Amino acid sequence: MFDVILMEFKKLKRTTIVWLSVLGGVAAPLLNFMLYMYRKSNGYDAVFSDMVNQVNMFILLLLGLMLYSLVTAYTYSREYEEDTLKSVLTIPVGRTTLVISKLIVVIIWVFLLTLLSYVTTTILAIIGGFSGIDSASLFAAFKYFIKSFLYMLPLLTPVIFATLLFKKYIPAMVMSIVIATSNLMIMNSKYAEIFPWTIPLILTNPPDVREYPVYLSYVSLTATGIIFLILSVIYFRKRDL
Amino acid sequence: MVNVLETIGLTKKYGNFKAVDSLSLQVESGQVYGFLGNNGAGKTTTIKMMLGLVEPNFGKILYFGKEFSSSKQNILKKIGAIVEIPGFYGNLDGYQNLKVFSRLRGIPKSNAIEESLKTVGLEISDKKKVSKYSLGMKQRLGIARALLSSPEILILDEPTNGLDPSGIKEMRELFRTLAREKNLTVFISSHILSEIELLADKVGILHNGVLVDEVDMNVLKSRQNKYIEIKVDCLEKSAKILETELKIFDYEVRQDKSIRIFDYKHDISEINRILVNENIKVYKLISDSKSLESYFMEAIKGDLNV
Repeated sequence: MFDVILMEFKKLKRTTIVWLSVLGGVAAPLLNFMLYMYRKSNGYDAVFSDMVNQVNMFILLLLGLMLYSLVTAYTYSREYEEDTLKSVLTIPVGRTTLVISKLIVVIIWVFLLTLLSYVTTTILAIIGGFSGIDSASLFAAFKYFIKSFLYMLPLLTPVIFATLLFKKYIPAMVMSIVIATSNLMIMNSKYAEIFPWTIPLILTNPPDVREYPVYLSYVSLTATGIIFLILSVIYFRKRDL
Repeated sequence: MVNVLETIGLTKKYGNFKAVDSLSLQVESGQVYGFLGNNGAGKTTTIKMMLGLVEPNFGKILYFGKEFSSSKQNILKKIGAIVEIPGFYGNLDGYQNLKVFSRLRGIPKSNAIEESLKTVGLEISDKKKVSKYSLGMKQRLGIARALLSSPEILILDEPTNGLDPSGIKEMRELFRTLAREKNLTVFISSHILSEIELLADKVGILHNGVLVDEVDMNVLKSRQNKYIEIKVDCLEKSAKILETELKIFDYEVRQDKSIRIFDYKHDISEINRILVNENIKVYKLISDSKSLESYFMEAIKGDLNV
């Protein structure tokens, strides 16, 4: 499996998607930085922790969701789109090994993008002269980003399933756009606590009053991740090429 | 002779449509097996089943006497394959692509990539991305990938597609050399009859998913040179006379009520004289030759009676 993971990274050499994902990773901090600098120019205080919250909300509900879906869908669909899957499977690489190895690559990639977003947020806040930057707030922000990353992981598996089902990345991307739009509608309702795609934000920014017990949020999120991973593996193992 | 590859009653259905129907064939060690059929005959589906890419509904596949389904991963390590047009990572060059596949295959030999690129006539130093390759170059790279791990059997689905005439000749010579010198077994599908005719030791003809005929090329060649075809009013009596009077035993009685004589030692006029003397009406008496093409056409029309 180590070789499969290593070769997945090698395959990314000279691809545009890597640079696109980097752009996506800095987009949320950059947009929020511009927003806060505008506010600052109008006399408002720009606080580092506020920007961290805002960047994470962008990532969890919109930009990150779509960017991570793109990275996941690309990783799984390229074997179909470049017609390499038949060769890989006759190498032979086991079908389950391939699904899991690619998932590990996506997790590492998403982790690096999370780190990039954190570092960009911090650097921009320092450049912008934001208040409330000290070692404690930097560490708290880091923890916040890592938590967001971990809560987003189960949401990668529905994208994997959609990509394997349609053999292209576009349906998975359409799905993620629909979900991102739904997030905006659901976020202000009580169902945000049990809708898998809004749960990461609910867990990182707990509401004052909860409508559902917190374990239900964890169950919903974990079950989504596990169910779609199992479905993906079963489907991919059974499917004729 | 050991069968390197054998299928028994292999069947694949898509709904009510049988893409491959009860296919049983044997490929011996060191043999070049030509798998002939029109487009849509079921060749690629068969090859995909042989490589575990498509699950058969019924039947068995055996490699080296072992059932494929029970030891798929180990058996695949001994196979080099091309299925349809070979796919590569377009952002990488040929060498880098082979490096990826070689690493995935766990090939320890450091110069395996260089050797296989050289074998198929591709430049090792060519840094061009595969997305810029012509179809012919992709085919060559596909063959190089199939040869990477020094397989015991090559399974090739239309491997000369996109190659120019000199490339086709080169690849044909390469496959023959590999079979003769390295005792590599080659299973090659094609719809180009002339190609298979020059390459194969044995030919299987697939039509509408059914293996309509399997013939040793030596047998075909011995019959291929020339034959005498006669059309008479009484087939049974004529056949008896051929055997008793002329001692001809290598002949076939065909569905179109003619007799083909492959034992070509006899004078055509002598055959005519003896048949007429026995009061048999001879309507037609010609000598002709039979190519793989005519054999193939007859086989898929279903009027072969060997």
